[in-house]
Amino acid sequence: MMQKRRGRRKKRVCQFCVDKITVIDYKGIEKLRRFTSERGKILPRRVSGNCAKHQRAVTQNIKRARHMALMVYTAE
Amino acid sequence: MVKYEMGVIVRADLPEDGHAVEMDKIKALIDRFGGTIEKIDEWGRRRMAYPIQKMSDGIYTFITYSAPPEAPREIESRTRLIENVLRFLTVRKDEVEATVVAPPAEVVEASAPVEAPEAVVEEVAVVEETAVEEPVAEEVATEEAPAEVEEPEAKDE
Ligand SMILES: [Zn+2]
Repeated sequence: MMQKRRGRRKKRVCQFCVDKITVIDYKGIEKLRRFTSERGKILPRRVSGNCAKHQRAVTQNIKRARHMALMVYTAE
Repeated sequence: MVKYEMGVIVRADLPEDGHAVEMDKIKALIDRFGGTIEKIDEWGRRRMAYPIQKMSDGIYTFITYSAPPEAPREIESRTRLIENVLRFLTVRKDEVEATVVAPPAEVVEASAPVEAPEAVVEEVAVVEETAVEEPVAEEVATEEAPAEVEEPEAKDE
């Protein structure tokens, strides 16, 4: 048996990989919103848990969504 | 031929068929540069996430078309001259049909199942994001990232 973990271990699982989601669309803003902070900033990978590939896709699509005024750049 | 999706926001305060007139201009451009329109997805009037040219609402339309690879550039450079178009963006779709349900006109929750049988992320690649008046800042929220966030707990799957 392993010793008890101190604190909670953060599972570094990429939700996209788990769900086998391969397409991320900038129009799916509800999904993308989970990867931004309250103020609309893109959450870093260590927080989102995304793998590099999906983090890149998320970032790219959040930027597209912002351009199309579907998401804010940053709330004041 | 490559498949593209062009998102267009037209100002919402045009009289009568003003919107249709603007969209016709864009459809004509697509046609002119060898594109074939495959699908038109109308989201309709919608509150924008931030005002553009002091307007809070825009009319959103997404046109899927296939065309030669040079087409988007030509179409975009001319779309930029259409005053009533507030924003546009062309992305590549390749063979991917990302099925995304258009959220309701208001910015309420929309269960957008971003599910597509199989595809690769890269397949939705930006063609050229032009006409942007954004301070392209590669910002990532470092602060306010609660140092110890539990994983986004069980997303009711
Ligand atoms: Zn992943």
